[in-house]
Parts: sequence; C-alpha cells; structure tokens
Amino acid sequence: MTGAVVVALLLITVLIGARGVAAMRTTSDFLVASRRTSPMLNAAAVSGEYLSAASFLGVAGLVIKEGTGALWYPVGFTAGYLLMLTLVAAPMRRSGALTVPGFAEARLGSRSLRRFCAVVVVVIGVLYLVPQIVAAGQLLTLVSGVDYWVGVVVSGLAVGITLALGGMRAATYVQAFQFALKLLLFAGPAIWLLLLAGPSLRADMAAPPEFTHFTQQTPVDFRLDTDLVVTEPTVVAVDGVPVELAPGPHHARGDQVWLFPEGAAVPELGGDRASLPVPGGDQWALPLLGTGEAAPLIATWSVLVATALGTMGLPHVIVRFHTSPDGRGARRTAAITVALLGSFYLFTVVYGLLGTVLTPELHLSQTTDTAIVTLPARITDGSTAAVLTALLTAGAFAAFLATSLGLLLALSGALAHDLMPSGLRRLRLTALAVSAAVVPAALLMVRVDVSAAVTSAFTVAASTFCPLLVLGLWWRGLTARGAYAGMVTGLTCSVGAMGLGTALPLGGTAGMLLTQPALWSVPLAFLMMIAVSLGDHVPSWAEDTMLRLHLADRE
Amino acid sequence: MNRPRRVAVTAPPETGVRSRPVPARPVPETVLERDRAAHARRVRHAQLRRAAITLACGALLLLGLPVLLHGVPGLAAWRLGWLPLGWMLVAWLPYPLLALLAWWHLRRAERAERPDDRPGEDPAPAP
Amino acid sequence: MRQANAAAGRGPYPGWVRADGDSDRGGRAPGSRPSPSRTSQSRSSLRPRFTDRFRAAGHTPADPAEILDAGVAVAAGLREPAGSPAAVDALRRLAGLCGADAVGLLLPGGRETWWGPDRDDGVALGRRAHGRRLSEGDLLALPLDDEPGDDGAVLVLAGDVSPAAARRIAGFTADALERARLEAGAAEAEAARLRELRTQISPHFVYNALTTIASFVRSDPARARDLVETFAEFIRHSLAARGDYTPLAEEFRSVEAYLTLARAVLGERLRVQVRVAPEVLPVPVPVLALQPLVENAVQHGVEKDPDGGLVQVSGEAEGDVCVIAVEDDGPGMSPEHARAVLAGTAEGAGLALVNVDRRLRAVYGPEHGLVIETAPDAGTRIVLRIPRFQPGVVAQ
Repeated sequence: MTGAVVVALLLITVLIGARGVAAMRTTSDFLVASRRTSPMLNAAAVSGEYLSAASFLGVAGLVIKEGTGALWYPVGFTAGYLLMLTLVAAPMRRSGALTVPGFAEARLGSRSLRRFCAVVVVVIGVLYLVPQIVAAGQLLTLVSGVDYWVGVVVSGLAVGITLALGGMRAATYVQAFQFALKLLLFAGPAIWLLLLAGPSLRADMAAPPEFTHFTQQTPVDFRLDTDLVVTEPTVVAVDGVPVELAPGPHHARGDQVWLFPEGAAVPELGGDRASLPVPGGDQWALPLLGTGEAAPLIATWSVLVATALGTMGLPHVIVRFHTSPDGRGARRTAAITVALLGSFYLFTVVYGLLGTVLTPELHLSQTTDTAIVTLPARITDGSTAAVLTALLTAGAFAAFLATSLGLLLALSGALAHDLMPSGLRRLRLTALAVSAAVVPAALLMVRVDVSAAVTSAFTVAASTFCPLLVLGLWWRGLTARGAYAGMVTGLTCSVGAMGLGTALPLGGTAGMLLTQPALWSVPLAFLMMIAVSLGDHVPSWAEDTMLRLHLADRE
Repeated sequence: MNRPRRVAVTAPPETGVRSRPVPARPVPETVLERDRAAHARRVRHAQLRRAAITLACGALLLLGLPVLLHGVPGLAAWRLGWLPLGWMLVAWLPYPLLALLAWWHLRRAERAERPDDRPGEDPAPAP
Repeated sequence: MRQANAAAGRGPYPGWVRADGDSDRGGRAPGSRPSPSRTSQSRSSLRPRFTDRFRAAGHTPADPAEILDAGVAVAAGLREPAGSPAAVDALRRLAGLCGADAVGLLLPGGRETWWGPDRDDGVALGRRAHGRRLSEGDLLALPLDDEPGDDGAVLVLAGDVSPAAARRIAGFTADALERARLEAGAAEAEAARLRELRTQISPHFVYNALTTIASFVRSDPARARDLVETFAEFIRHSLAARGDYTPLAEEFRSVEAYLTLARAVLGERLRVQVRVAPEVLPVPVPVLALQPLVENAVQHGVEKDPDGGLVQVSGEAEGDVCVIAVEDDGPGMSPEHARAVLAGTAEGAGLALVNVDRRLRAVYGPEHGLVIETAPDAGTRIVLRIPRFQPGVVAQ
C-alpha cells in the first residue's frame, strides 16, 4: 500500500518533469512572454525546493529527542527568508548571477575566487545532500522492512532516474506543485490525526507524561549500537530470549529488538547521548535548545543564527529567484515565501507532541527521524492508518526528491562549470556521478540526526557565503582578497569546530560552541572580510558595479 | 513516420569569428552616469536603512523570545487554553509575525524605489 | 578611493618633501616606516634579478621557460581593467622580473594599477611626469608613449633597478599595452559589426506582411489595425532595441509578433506551437538571436510546402544552460548543405543563420554556436544553448 503510493507519486513527479503537462505552457495563440512568472508561483517553487526531508521528518523527531526547543529550527529556517528579502533577493537578481560563484566573479572580478566559492558550494551541498538520502533510506527501511542499505541505494537511484528523465529542467511548475503536495500531505494528516485522537490523547499532548516507565509492553528496535544505563533490575526479552539486566551500563547491538515489559523502568541513555532530556521531563518541556549543562540561551541563539543566516547561502535556493523577471519580482517572491513556509511549519508541533506521547521509546533507539510515519498506526488501525502512513511517506519522499534534485544540480553545476577544466562540461554525467558518490557517504553516516546534519550545512553557508553576499551587495569596499580571507576563516572555523566537536564530546557550553559554532564563526568571518578589505586597494570600478545592483529595474 | 535520422551539424571552426577560445572576460566596467550613480547611492542608502530597521525588529523578536523563555521559566508551564504558552510562543507566534514583518518591509522597500524618487523629479530631497 | 587611501595616513618618505615642498603632506610623521632604500637592499639580496640573469646568461643560463611564462602572464594581465586583481598580479610578476620593490602603471584618464608599497608617492610622481623621464629617491617614472605629451601611459618603478633593465621593462610594457589596445579596438569593431548583423530584417517578409495588411484594410479594418500594431511591435524590437542583450521574454514577444504576421500571410498553412518554461524567460540573450531562426523555419519549412507545416519553438532550462529549439517538419536538407549554410558558403541561403551563429560564438564562446539537426525529408531542428548567466551579459 505505502510502497504503491510512493511509486505512484514518484511516477507522477517524473512524468510532470519529463513531459511538460504542466511544466511548460502550450498555447495556440502563443502569448507566452506577456504572462510572466508571478511571485506567488515562484514563491511556491522556492518553498517546494526548500522544504526538505529534514523539515518534513526531522524537526518532529528532534522534538521527541531534544525537547520542545527543537521547534526553534523551523523558526530559523523561515527567518532566513526575511534576510533574503531584506538583503539579498533584489540586488542578487539584478546581478544576473545564478550562483554564488558566478556572483563572486561578476562583482569582484576574480576567477580564482569563483573556483574557491565552487569548492564551498560542494562542501555545503554534500553536507545537505547526504542527510537527505539518509532520511529517505531510513524512511524506506521503516515502511517496507528492507535493509537500510537497500533503502539508501533505492533513494539514490530514484534521484538519479528522476534526473535523467527530465529533472535537469528544474521546472518551476514542478516545484510549485511539490510545495502544494507537501503542504497538503503535512497539514492534512496532522488535522486528521488530531481529530482521530481522543480527548485523553489530546490532553496528554498538552502535557506529555514523563517517560520513566513503560506503560505497556514495548519493543525497542535498535538499528544502531546504543549504550543504555539500567536503573533497576529488569527482565527484557532480547530477540525473544529473556535476559535479566542488572542496574548499570548495558550495550544494545544494532540488530537487536529488546522487549520491555509493562511497568518496567525506562533505562537512561549512556555514552555521548547521556545529556539528552527525557521525553516529557522538565528539561524537555522548556522550549530552548541545548538543555543540560550547556547554556540554553546561547545554544538557541546559535541555531537561530546559523539557520537564518545560512539560508541565503544555500546553493539550490538562489537560482530559483532568477525565474522572477526582475529584482522587484524576486523581492516579492522572498516575502511570499516567508508566509508559505510559516504556514507549513505551523503543523510541526502537532507531530512533535504526538510523537512524544505515543512513541517515546524511539528516544531509546535514536530512530526519531522517522517517528512521523509510525504515528497513524498508534492512533488508529486498519485502512485509515495505512492511508495516513502512505500519505505521510509520500509527502516525505516528495520532500526528499525535490530538495535532492535541486542540490544535486547545484553541486554538479559547481563541479562541471567552475572546478573541472572546460571541455569536460558534461552536467548530466557529473550529476549522475555525484548521486552515485553520495550513496556510500549516506551508508557511512547512519548515525546523524537529519535536522542537526542539515544545520551544519547552514552553519557553513552562514560562515562563508552570508558575509560574501551581504558585503558584496551592499559595501563597495569589499575586495577579492578580503572575500577570500573571510571565507577561508569562516570555512575552517565552522568545519573545524564541528569536526572537533564531534571528535571530542566535551559537553557543556564549550562543547556546544564547538558543535554549533555559528554564533562566533559568522562574526569572525565578517570581521576578517572587512579588515582585509580595508587594508586592500579597492578598484575604481567597484562602486559602480555595486551601485548598479540597487538601481530599480527599467531605469 | 519513417523519417531519416537527423544529423547534428555545427559551423566549421574556422568560419567562427574567433577560433581561439574566448579569453577570460573581465568584469564589465560598469560606468554609471553621475545622476544615475547619485540616485543609486540614495536608493541604496534608503534600502539599507529600511533593511536595518526590519532586521532589528526581527532580531529583537527571535533573539528576545529565548531570553524571555529563559528568564521566565514559568511560561513553559503556564497554560493558555490547551497548550502551555511557552510552546505556543515558539511553535506558532513567530510565523505570523515574520510574515507581517516581511509584508511591511516589502511595502516600504518598493516605495523607496518608486519612480517619483528619481533625480530631477524629486521635489523634496531627503533630509 | 584614491583620496581615501591618502587620507588613511600613508606617510610619504622624507625625500618627497624635499623634492616637492608639499608641506601639508610632509607634516605627517615621516619616520613611520623603515627607509625604502634599506628595504629594497635587503630584499634585493634575496630575489634573483632580471639583469643579473642577463649578465649571467653565458655561464649559468636562467630557465628561459620561466621568464617567458612570466612575460606571457604579464601581457595577459595588462589586458585586464586597471586596478583589477589580474592587472595587479601582472605588475607583481613584472616586479619579479626586474627586481623592483613596487611597480605602478598609470593610464590616461586617471586609471591606475599599483603593486607594492609607496602607492601615493609613486602615483603622484607618475602624474607629474608629463611624458618625461623622472626620478626621485628610488622612484623612477618612465613614460611609455613615444611622443611626449601630457596624458600618456606612465610606468613607475620603485627600488634599485638598473637603467637598462628599466628601459627594457618599459619597452615590453609599452608593447603589451599597444597589443591590448589593438585587441580592444578589434573587439569594439567586432561589437559594432555584431550590432550591424542584427538589424537585417528580411525585406521579403516586410513586403509580404504589408501587402497582407493592405488586403485587410477594406475587408476587415479591425484586424488590419491589430496587424499594424503587431507590425509596429515587431519593428520596434528589431530596430529600436537599446542594448546588445534583451531578456528572452522580449525576444519571444518579437517572435510572437512575427508569427502573428506570418499567420496573417500564410493563413491556416502555418501551424505553430510555442512552449516555454518560465524559468528561462528572464535569461538575457543577444537581441534578435531567436527571431531569425523562426523566420528561417517558416520560410524553409512551411512557405515552400503547399500543405503548410508545423513550427515548434521551445525553451527550457537544463541546469544552468537555457536550451532553445526551433523545429519545422519541412523538407529538411542534407547535412553537407547545413554545414555550408553555417559556413556562409551555401548558394541561395541567406546570412541570417550565419549571423546568429557568429554572434553566439562571439558572446558565449565557440562551443555555444548553433546546432542544426537535419537530414533530407526529416525536417530541421535548430538548437541554441545559451548560458543562463555569463558575466558581462546583462539585459538592458
């Protein structure tokens, strides 16, 4: 059932992309040009491209795992378009540059800077693309019961095939349709589930009980090796064999299913996950991130800064604004996008709370990323649950496909046009090669939280492209050398800090500042860019080149 | 339809205007006339000011809310109807406010580049 | 910007004050930096000299490939706009060749490029040179033009450079500049020629359209008026477009105007399908890159066939390339003939396709010329692949 819906959806998407039913206009009286792309349509396309599997699945899962503070992630994702609107959309559209590397060359006149920007695009693209494939793989694993690697390979294939069959067109109508589909498949089931849920469940949602004891016999399907700390002697059926666990640390292998009896105490998480809050607990209920000894205020700010400032540097988003006929259209597109994204994210809290009440045990197995699709079966049964699960799966897969295609194109564009020697300009081949290359990466990175991994892509974008765009568009004094210095600083600080933070689980505020470095790496990149530019010679054409971007169109 | 296969043909390389590869194209030397440059400077300044105001409001909202939630932990427990107020402040409140802010900024930004702002027709130069 | 740099407080060294007597500049702390001559001596011992290499050539030959490479890079860099990073880099290499501590190139019209310290002093000296050789401290200004005049190019060298080396470097730079100037002139001539190419509207079509409109004037005056308006729109785009590039949407409007007129002339024999994806409509393209192709398809695919034919025009994005195709189901042609058409050697074929092809190659590079897919009795499809963004290509 679910599989059929996913396949049907995939076919529909591919067909629309390949045979221009709605993707291209067929007119008998051929009045094409007078009908320009409306900002509304374009904003829907931007949102369709932007809402990824991380938004569809990841945020609700993070609410179960990290607490209601995870609701700040989508706020930052949306606020990014406010920055896009105020600082980037109109002048960037007028520059004509489709990509940040292209902008760097056109504004600062440096080929080598363009190539460096392309390297950054590749870093951001990979950091964003891999978690998408991970999420899609987990999703397929969950709904069809295949091995994780099969799910990942099928997801990679789906992207590759869609691309070969017309995904290269990046058609506006397809992406706009994808947004409508995602909104429908996200909001519809949310409302439906709320109606199906009885009054006691709705009351529980408003105050999820702390997850200290299993209220019923509960299987926990560990798909990854996990460290647990048992607090009282418990008899657990490990793959059907009863085992008595003494209080103390225990290790669950990645292929085991532990069946906890009703009334048993819930074990605590050990290892590097020990600081995560207990679902329904006090820390969980405080809507700030980084609960535990890490300063919650700073953690929340850091995520907000990374997501809001990183949006403008995402390689697959900027190109969409070029469908607008002019700078004014691009600005309107950005403004409408804020509203469209907001209407989508209003529903995340429903899934987050339902998941915390109904599937808190996913917190133990760390498989919260796919919590959403397990919810319908917990609320109702029979065909209603199957239909709801299928709808949610389809929506999540649509989100995965739309974003992955855009990312893949941006990534391959940077590789094929900016980094490879000319003559090797085979965009389609490069795209297929990239999609083949990210599959093994996704197989290695099973453990990542989809939303957290996506945030690392935002952090890198915020520390490199955000200063480049903001200063390049608004300050005549930016020079190529300054841009280099700032971006190298931002890239090494953000990537280095996040790598260090993963390698050394420090904990506390220091550890948090390593894993979420945006709060200091972004200002540092800005400062570096400004300082080096001030010491450099500004070419005489710089001011006019910058000013032209602010002249309204048709003047 | 049994058509012969089409063959793809391009111009022989020698007839091209240049047979050598196009050299690295420098940045086009954008040169604005003085009036236009002055006008662009004004518009840029006006837009920057508006952007700063909008972003300050946005930052106050988004960076201030966590401070409020941190300073008044009771908000997370205090219920307004069905859900705790603290959760609503994060889950729902920011979106309409961001959309309003976006709409407000859009209107002001478009007004800033209305044609009656153009040089020569500008009756009252900005103070 | 220059003033801003001067105001930033780069203290001129003492020699400046004595030679010039410019007291308000001399007021700044003169000793704020180490003496330039000392710097140049300490540096000169580290860096191989151009002149040393010349002298030593008989005994230990320097790597000529290296020197030639540097020369080529310098010549290429001097073609870039003054002040651009590439131009600065060219001067850096020039300094490496002759062992100068700083090199500046002052061009007519106040444009300048500088590499190394002492920018303000050097520029001021160069501006005072007025076609004469001028030296001051260890700064040396060499005019590059043969005729002494007020406003010529001046090369300024700082540091301990032998007069012979300085003369050679100046000669080399003057040659490179002259070549760059000639190339720029050629490019301008090319641009003018390209502009000329695009204004060729088929007189055959204008005649047909006007006679058709005339035939409607009595029988259907409303339609005649509409057609005249369409004709005006077509002419406006073809003759009066301002810049070299126009958004594809505008180009499509011209195509639509053309097709409306052609349908009035040909009636039901002409069937048309236009399919354009919205994301390519804003792409800037050379003015009249598309309309001649459509006209060609109508002329060769439809007009000659008594049963008429179908012309399909499509535009879509493929990654960062915009692919436009014009297809007819007419008689087609042999690939050899198509090749001859593009080469401009085919008999009886107009120059419309050649012109479009040359303009596209000139703007976007040789791999972006027209592609004609055709065979006898197979119709013809002409494909344009235009980058959606090319630095320097901006619609007016």
